[in-house]
Amino acid sequence: MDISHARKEFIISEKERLLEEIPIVDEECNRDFIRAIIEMGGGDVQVCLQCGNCTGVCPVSLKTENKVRNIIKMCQMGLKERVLSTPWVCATCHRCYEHCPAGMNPAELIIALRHIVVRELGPPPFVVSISNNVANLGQAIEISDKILDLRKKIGLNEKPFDERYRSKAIMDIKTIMKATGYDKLIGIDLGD
Amino acid sequence: MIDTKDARTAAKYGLFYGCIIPNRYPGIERSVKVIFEKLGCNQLFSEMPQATCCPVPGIFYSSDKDTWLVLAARNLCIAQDRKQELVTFCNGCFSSLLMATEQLSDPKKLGMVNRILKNVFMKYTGVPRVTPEGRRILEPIKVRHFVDVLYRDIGLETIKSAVVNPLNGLRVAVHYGCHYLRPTENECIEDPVNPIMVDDIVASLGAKSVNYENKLDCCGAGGGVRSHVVGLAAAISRDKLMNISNVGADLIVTPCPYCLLQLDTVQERLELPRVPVFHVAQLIALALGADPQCLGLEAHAVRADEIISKYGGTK
Amino acid sequence: MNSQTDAKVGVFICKCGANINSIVDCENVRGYASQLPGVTFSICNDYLCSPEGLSQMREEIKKSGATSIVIAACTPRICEKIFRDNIEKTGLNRNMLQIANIREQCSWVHANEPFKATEKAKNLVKIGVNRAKTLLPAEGVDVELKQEVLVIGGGVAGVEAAYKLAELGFKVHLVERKPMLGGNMATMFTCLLWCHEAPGKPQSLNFRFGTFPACDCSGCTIMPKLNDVIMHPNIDILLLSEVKQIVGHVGNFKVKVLKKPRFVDEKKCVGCGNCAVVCPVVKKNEYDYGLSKRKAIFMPYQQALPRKYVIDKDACLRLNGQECSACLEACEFEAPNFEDHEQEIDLEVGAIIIATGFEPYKPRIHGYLGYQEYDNVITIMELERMLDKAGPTGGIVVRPSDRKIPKKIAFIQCVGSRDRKISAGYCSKVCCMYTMKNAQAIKEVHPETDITVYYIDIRAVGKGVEEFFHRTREDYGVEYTRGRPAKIIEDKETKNLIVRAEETLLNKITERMYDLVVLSVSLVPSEGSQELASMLRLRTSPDGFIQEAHTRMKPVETSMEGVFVCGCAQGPKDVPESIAQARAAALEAAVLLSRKVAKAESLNAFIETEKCIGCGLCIDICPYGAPIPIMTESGMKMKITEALCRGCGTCVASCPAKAIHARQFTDDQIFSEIKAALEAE
Repeated sequence: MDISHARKEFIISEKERLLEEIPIVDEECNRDFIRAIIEMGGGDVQVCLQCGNCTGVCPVSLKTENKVRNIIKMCQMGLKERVLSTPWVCATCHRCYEHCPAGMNPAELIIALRHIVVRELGPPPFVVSISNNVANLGQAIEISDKILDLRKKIGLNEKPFDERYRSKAIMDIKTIMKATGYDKLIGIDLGD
Repeated sequence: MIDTKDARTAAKYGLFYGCIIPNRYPGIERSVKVIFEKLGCNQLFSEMPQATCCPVPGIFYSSDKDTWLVLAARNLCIAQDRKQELVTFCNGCFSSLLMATEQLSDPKKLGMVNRILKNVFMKYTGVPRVTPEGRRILEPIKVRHFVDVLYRDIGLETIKSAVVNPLNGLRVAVHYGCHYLRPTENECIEDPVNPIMVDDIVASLGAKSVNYENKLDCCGAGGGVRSHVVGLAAAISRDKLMNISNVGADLIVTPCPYCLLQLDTVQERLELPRVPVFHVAQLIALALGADPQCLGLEAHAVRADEIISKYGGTK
Repeated sequence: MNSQTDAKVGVFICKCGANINSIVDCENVRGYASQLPGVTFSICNDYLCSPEGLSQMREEIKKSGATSIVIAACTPRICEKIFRDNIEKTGLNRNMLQIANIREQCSWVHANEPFKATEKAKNLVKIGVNRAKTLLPAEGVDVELKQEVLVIGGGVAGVEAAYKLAELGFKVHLVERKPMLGGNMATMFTCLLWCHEAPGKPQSLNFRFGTFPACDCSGCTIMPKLNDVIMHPNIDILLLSEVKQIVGHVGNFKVKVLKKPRFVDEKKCVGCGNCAVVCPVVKKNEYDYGLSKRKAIFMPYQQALPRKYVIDKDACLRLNGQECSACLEACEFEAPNFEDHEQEIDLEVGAIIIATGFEPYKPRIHGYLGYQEYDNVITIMELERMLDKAGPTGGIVVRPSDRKIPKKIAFIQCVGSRDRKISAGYCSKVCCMYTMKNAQAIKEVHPETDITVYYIDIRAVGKGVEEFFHRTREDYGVEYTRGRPAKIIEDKETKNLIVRAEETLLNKITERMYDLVVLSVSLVPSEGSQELASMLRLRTSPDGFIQEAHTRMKPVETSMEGVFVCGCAQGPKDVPESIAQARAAALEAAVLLSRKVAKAESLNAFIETEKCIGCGLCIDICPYGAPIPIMTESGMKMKITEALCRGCGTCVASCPAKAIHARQFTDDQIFSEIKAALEAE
């Protein structure tokens, strides 16, 4: 029986399903990345034992593919490009810090990564919009008409922010943001 | 309703509402005022009208720690200048401001902050105190959570004796929230593995705090998750709400308005029995005999009509 | 402190092969030294510390009649004692030696500046010569070394050390807190024997359990040793005793021991157990970690040695004022003794061996592992008691909730160890091994039970342990998975446990159900060892265990002379290591005491009584407890116990009346060095 035909089929159909694994090479490993993380206050990733306890308690790791421990491992190897292009989310619930036997705080690491992203790739849109709110309204969210009415109805001042102090407070915020350079960092226009 | 005392005779506590409460769930603000009225301790609390966003840690602490610290220090200065303890009603504000007081004990950070605050004519120094040995020291501003103030300073007995509308038979699922249990790396207000304060408060109102699986789990909203990936936040909340509905709770109570926002608004997307969500202050106000109007329940996505009809009696 | 008026200083310069001579021009220095005032000879040598060098030194000294010697060589930390011993052989007092360090402090640090290094070496020798002229002979005091030894702790290490010393002829006082000997080892299931495969099969280095009747019960391994110790005429065993106070110094420690009452006459009790049968009070047996019950009059566990009963004074009715004479009536030997009381026993010993062992770490209650919250979460100690054939469950493993045999067991490693939140984060060394051993033991008794071990790293060091690890996985089918469990959840109905962990090698979070969870807890220092360490002013390491004097070269000595440490009191270790250390400590103590009399070093401090104002500051400051108050005609003054003084100089610097002086480090002597250093050529 000629089975060469079957063998060819097997190999051809197999090939379509193969994912090419591109090995990671030295050039991708950037030791400066570890130092950059320490400078941003993310802590020293080298202390991590990779025990996996953080991933086990993380509410986000349970729901997504990108586990905390993997992110730390990539940081340990200095795979900056890979880390910054992998989506990661963190609820800063600090369970990881609570359980970590090596005394690391993976939440702080993620905060440091966020700092690096904001500086190198730009802030995500929701950061821009909420920063705008704080700069122009003094508060993180706008108030809707429905809530304004509700406030009056239940016996509170209609405006949540006392008008007598509001404009000074907003000016303070704008001055502070300009002084720290936050406006330029995030890309919001504060007028003058 | 505004109560701006003169700085020299300022009340012991300054009320820091944050952003969510005044702009999204004003019923909490009103409930707080009712509580102080009914407990007869209005004079201990005063508004902080110059206060702004804490600033929200999920945005500011994540993008630029320096900016976050200065904005937080500005809010702390307001309490400092009136020699007040700053009381928060939100886990996020609590964590943000408490972290700020810890970091401001570092002289380098303090220097950076004060250099910038000079531009707005403020200076963070701490509160001057004289120790029993006679030394003059500067203590950091005290940042308190509302629940802690109720439990430790005002006391369960005071609350219990002021209850005119006992919530007997109400089955409450308490959700503490992550930043209540672990506000900073170094401090917490009670045992993060075995918290009891909100459960005790609920019990003192006559209600029953029911245990449910994974009670201390996260709601999924914080850290920018809700703003960034709202579906993920919903998935995390779903687990929690499933566990709560498994025990048949009538009501969810939480000390954080952001957890409240999440657990309240997410239920529209989930196919689970609806459970109304209250802030601790709203529940206490109800038990102390507040007019249900004051709870501002129109702002909530999940109706609480059954609870109000059963317990909203006394005026 | 007058210097010698007609000093004759001899100078030796060691070339130390290339170490000194390749940088410092030793001949040049030699020539320079020979023309310094007071120097009677100046000689170079290749290796002064060699037998030839030392013998040349002795010849030169005798020939020249030198009164003080300067040796320019390596650091005194290495060779000082050798040189002092050497010059003593020529009849010179051993204190008439000054060392100038021209290696560590000269040639090694200025290796790239040889000219300047040579000049510095010359200066160092000049300083040395000046100092040598101020040296005075001094004799150390004779210290009588009592030929008795105190061993604190009756576990495997303490018992071994006591036995060896007793065999050598010393009188040993063995103080043990519990009512029986054997410590932790006697309660743990530890019998591992070397095995030989059947002929024809490849030989492997492996342990195998002896199965019944080949003695695998926990006490069997240690029982012969305990019997030897109990029978030995030189060993005085004090059970239910604790050391309350120790004062003194090497050769003469005065110890106060508090012996708690047993309420049973040890001489009369034969261990028959009739008393326990009739005793009305039932309690949980803490020696079985609550797995079994005992009476108020009880034997701690089946094979406790000495085999004597003891009464729990909190549980006993009669000792708490109620009427009861059940045990008295049942005992035909009249052993129960309700008149027994606390005794204070004073001992005087020449050396002390600390063998206080370890305690298992107690995991946090209301922690994440459910210890003491969930019925079926136990620690390794409870498991060991269960596996003991003479233990509370007769050698089978059962779930505490329903006493059924578990079908799936999880071991969780690193509970209490490698955790920087709890301790310094040390690794407890033996837990990986004891888990393997216990897993194999469980499989021997219950072959159908599945076992999974959650680990972070497996540390399989030591002879045969790696092979043992392979055997555990291959032959016994124990599953090993890498991941530190995040949470344990209890199923309320079945009392089963769900372990949630990220299995890191799988890259997935798993939740798996087990009937029984065993926590592999770390070893922590015994309760009370911290107090004992402060009593003796011993250093403890960051992990809380007693620190040895030198991490490499002195594993059983401590910072206090005459006090030795062995076994787990020094750090977590297994039984063979404890035995080796116990024998080493016994040997050290024996060598120390065998001289019967020792000379204390004379490089110590003394107090000028007339100048002393009796303030007592030196007592507070001294790390060795050397100054003591004495009553004189002019009031309270301080005196330094020479045998305890180590010559650190702290009191000398602190005395407000400048009444304390350090021998060979007086102000004059130090000024002589400074003058020489700053003098112009």
